[in-house]
Amino acid sequence: MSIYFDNASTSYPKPECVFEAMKYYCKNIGANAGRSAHRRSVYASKLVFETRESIAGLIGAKDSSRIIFTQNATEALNLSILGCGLKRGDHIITSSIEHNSVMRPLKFLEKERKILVDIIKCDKNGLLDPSDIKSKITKKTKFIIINHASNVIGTVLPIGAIGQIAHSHNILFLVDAAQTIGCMPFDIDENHIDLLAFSGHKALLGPQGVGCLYIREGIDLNPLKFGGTGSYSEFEMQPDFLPDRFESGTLNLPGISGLKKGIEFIKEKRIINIQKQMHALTDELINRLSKIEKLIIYGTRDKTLQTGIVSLNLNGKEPSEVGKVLDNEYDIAVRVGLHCSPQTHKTIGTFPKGTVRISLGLFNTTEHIDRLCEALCQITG
Amino acid sequence: MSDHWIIIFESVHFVMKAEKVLKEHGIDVNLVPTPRQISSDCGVALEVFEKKQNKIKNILQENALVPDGLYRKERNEYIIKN
Ligand SMILES: Cc1ncc(COP(=O)(O)O)c(C=O)c1O
Repeated sequence: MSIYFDNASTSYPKPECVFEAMKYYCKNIGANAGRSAHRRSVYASKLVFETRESIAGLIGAKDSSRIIFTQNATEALNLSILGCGLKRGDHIITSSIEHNSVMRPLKFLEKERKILVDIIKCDKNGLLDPSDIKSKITKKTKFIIINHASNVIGTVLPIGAIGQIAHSHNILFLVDAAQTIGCMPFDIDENHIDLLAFSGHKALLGPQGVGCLYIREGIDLNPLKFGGTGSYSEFEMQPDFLPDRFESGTLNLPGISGLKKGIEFIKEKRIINIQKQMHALTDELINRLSKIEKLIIYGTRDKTLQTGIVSLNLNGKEPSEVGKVLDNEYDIAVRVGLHCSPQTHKTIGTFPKGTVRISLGLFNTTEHIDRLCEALCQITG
Repeated sequence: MSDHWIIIFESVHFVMKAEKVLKEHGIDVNLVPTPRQISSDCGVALEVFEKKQNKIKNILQENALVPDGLYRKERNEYIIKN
């Protein structure tokens, strides 16, 4: 039996209805959205509209035209960071457990536009004290960027408290929800979120190739891409209305059809129940791993403080070696190394070797955990 | 007898939204190609059959939908009404 524990990278397997919908679209519809008035195109436009409405419902957005489809979470984060008009001397606050899709565009702006970046240090379990953010705010602070949960150790950050701070200081607040959308319920208004970026291919169970950015009303960004939108074609200027402003070029319609079904699937299960299921499985994983000698677990080890991600190391063994043996000899897929987040590994003390990351998904079982723990016991010897 | 209306929006997103909310109010509405006399764009417009213009306007307004153009079809002409 092949076992997949790399769901933080992308979820696998996807529900049958996801790839059935993609196949149906490719085989029977095929047309582009928003470009023509023939029935196939109208079908496609409706599909995109309904998917947007469904996503809006998921995050509590009242106006679904503020949901933008991107290629992935990385593009949504880049659009926010590069598009919000940061100038020389502007000050940005972020955490020490961000993904490279946040750190790299920030580093680019630091060098090219001389913006100032403050990286708030989380403790070795990834926990962050919101008052550390508050104390760094200056008159020049324009932007606070935080991931909702770490993709290395799963620690959930207090976005509610941070959003409150950002809101009361009139600072733009961007949340990277790549690791939480679809596996824990949250609301954009309650958390004062101005911009929310996420992938469609993780816990939303869609295929690769679709991500999203929610942009609160009143926030104006510059597009990353300019081009055809199917609207106002007689004008040479890029439209200023959403969603067209940020969706130049052909959308990934097979991907959107799959994502729509993935979201329907989790809505039917209800996210609150998914969270419970993941809590139970995470608890089981942490308990079982804790019993293995010579095994170090990173992070909070508390299911209520984290998502279904556990990073570990085996005493004296290279993470890459452990990953290889798990794959080759036990048919268990995990991710090893730095997980696109060297900052996090510096924070938890595992840079530059990294860790072995076990990330749970909706379709993992306790039997999978049994098999993993047996394998790890054998590897440690 | 109902009047024959054509409504266009900036983005196809709002055409779809307007179709949904008007239908929910039991109004007879179809998606049609935007008539060339109205716009040179190749997009989709809403065709609505309804006696009272205000009824349409109110539903759109309640849903924060702002038409780019609301036209009444009179024989072969489209008369702007918004
Ligand atoms: C926290 C976090 N941010 C951003 C990303 C980037 O997502 P994507 O691969 O969809 O661009 C990921 C996942 O890879 C992630 O875990």
